[in-house]
Amino acid sequence: MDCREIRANLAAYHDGELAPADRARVEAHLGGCGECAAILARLAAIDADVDVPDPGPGYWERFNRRVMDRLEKDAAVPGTVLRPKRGWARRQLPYFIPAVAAAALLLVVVRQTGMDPFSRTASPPPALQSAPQTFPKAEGPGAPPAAPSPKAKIAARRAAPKESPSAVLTDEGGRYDASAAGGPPSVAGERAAAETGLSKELSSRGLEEAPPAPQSAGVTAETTAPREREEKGIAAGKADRAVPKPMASAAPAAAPSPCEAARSLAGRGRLKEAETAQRACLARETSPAVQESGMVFLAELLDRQSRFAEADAVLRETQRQFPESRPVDAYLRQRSQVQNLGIPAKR
Amino acid sequence: MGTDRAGEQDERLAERAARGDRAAFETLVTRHRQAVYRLCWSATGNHADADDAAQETFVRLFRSLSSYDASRPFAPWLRKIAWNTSLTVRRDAKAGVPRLPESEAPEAVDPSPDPSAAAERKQETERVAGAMAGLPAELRTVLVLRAVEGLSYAEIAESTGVPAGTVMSRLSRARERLAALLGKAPGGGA
Repeated sequence: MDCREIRANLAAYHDGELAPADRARVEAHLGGCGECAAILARLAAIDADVDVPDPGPGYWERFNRRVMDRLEKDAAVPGTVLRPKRGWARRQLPYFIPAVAAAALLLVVVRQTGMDPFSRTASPPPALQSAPQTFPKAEGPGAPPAAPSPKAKIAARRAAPKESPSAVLTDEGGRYDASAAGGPPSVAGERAAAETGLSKELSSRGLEEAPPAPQSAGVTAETTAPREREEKGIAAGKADRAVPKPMASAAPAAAPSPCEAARSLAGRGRLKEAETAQRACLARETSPAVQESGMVFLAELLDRQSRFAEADAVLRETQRQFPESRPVDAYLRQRSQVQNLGIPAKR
Repeated sequence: MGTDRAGEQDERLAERAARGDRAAFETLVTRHRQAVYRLCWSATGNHADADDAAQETFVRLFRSLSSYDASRPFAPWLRKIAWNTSLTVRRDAKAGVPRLPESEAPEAVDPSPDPSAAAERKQETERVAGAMAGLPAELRTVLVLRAVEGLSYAEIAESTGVPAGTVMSRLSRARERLAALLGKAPGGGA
């Protein structure tokens, strides 16, 4: 190595960033080259000069108290609490109650009709498909399981309650839908839910509160899926794809869309993966409504990863694309209120 | 005072703080406040903004504890929060957003009993501070993170969100610029 090569590596050597072999070469050279050794010494001298002015002991004495005061002040904002994280169970509560209500409602429907509520659709529900030996004639499209035998009724009741509550929670691929409390979401309702879900969430919770419902939905889907696969066997793969499948997310062949996956992952706290899925969602879904709410959701995911500057950039871009964006305004208002980020709620 | 938390790992303290243990949170603040302040000062170049950013960093930390994964090291995560917060504060300052009223001016404190030595040191400190403040924030930050905090290129890259190669080139430029500002001969480098 000549001096030119050594000097190109001196800073990395000084910073301890060279591989052992290169380090040894530099050291060997420095032993015999006073000029390079002097340059290295100057590097060390410059680093020794680097300093940040210290504000003094009085400042540090007050520092913690001021942080705590700010947190107390934030806690005085309605809707916030001076606690980094509410207990898991408590956070689930606002979502758990509607979910349980929805499950109970379905149970009532199931008990009253003696069958899966989704049997009103054009083809039999997967639960019934899973027992072809019980309902051999029910496989035809639109064929109602009329006057099933007592044995068949028992089989249907056993199968239906297991699937129906999950179907509400994970309908359309695991997305949480607050409207689930009022009944199972429809296919048409999915888009609307995507557009309005955020506003609902924003108005009902603080920024840091992870949307727990997808978590429970996801868990339900995960825990139900193996059992279903077991029960359905090969029949699961033959499910009528023209009909919305209540347990589509649990079926091995039907992967959730990126948009759905993003919500589900976010609910489970897998924020980085949720972000990736949400970006894929935005790349795929080009409708303005999905873009608008989707970008705000992406900003929320970034915020939750403490990547505030990136979140800001996404929100600015959303505002640029959707100048009258209510989701953005709502989110900014909520964010500045809850986190005191200093970002104006109004443009 | 409860148990001695001095030896407790940051990650465990963060876990406790996330469960609502305020003493654990305050221990984290005490432990990291100076490093956070230095990073914030590096990013903003003045005390008022650094103070604002440092305070805000710990507020954001508190609010984000619920999403912290204790299996990952705490300090890099906190640095990232501090860096992002500093950028926000810097942007707001440029946009004229009024800063928090409680920002205090730094105190000129020197415990030295020798007045002339203290004056000399103060003069040198001000000269270096002036030179540091004269560096662009991106250069100043990598320099402080390397020379004061002792971080590796990879750690600096992670904290500031730039590639390690960029850290290296910024570091080289920062040293050259600082040497020039202090009237010293620059060191070597690429």
